[in-house]
Amino acid sequence: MPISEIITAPVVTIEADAAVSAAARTMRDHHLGALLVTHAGDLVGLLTDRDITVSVIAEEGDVERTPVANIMAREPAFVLEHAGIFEAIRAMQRANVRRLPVVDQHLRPVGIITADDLLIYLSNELGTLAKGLFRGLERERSRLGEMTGAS
Amino acid sequence: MSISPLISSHVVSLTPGMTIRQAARWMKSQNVGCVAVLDDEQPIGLVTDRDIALACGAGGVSPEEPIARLAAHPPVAVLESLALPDAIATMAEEGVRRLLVTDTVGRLVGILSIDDLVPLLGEELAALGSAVRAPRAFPPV
Repeated sequence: MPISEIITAPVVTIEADAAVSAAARTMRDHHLGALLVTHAGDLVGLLTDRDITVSVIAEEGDVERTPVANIMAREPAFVLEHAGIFEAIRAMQRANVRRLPVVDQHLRPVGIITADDLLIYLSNELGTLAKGLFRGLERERSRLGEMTGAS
Repeated sequence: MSISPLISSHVVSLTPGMTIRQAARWMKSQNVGCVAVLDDEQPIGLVTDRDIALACGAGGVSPEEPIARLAAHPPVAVLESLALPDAIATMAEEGVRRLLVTDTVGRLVGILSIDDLVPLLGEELAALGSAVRAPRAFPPV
């Protein structure tokens, strides 16, 4: 199953030369923990809320005058939009991150996939599996019930 | 299973009067995503790196203000004797990914995070998987 089906769309990006304060407002208004950073339409970095705290607030920087490019993670690990769930998990494991930018074949940003997205997906699959096991047991019980005439 | 072995006891605790900037520095140096705010040993709030980023980055709050300003709402707290399924249910009901864990007199013991539960559950599933996959050995006839 391609990850494009479970990532949240639309993608929310911020320009590399935008101020950190603008990025923080975007994160707040869209309820996001990370933004894809773009320049001329290309993915150039990933900015998280933590980056703002440890790189600007902790360092007495100015959120209005610091451009996002100064504190973002450059050349982040990414995953292609047609990649499968397990591929995305392996990519997160290899890069030791909980978020990956998702890009199209031209490396243009399409969205972000998070460990939470994958956890929710896997949990739903396990839940469906459990329902199937339960239903199988119920079917067997009702079949046996019919055979023996028990209600 | 109780949550006791899963609790992270390395919790950075600050007093309410310490500044937001000091909290940010602690988060950076200790490589943690949240700090507990204790008033006379009683936890009054949990502040995350996200809270700071949004308040100071977008909300115009000065980093020189006291951290207590961001610990406005009482955190969801549970006892260290709580069973794991109940802790998970509490996280789900409250919509939080961290629980403050206290002892019976309300003192901070640690934090239980969903990020500690996921690896545990993953290990349990993996163990189950290898039990299901392995051919069962039958005793000799």
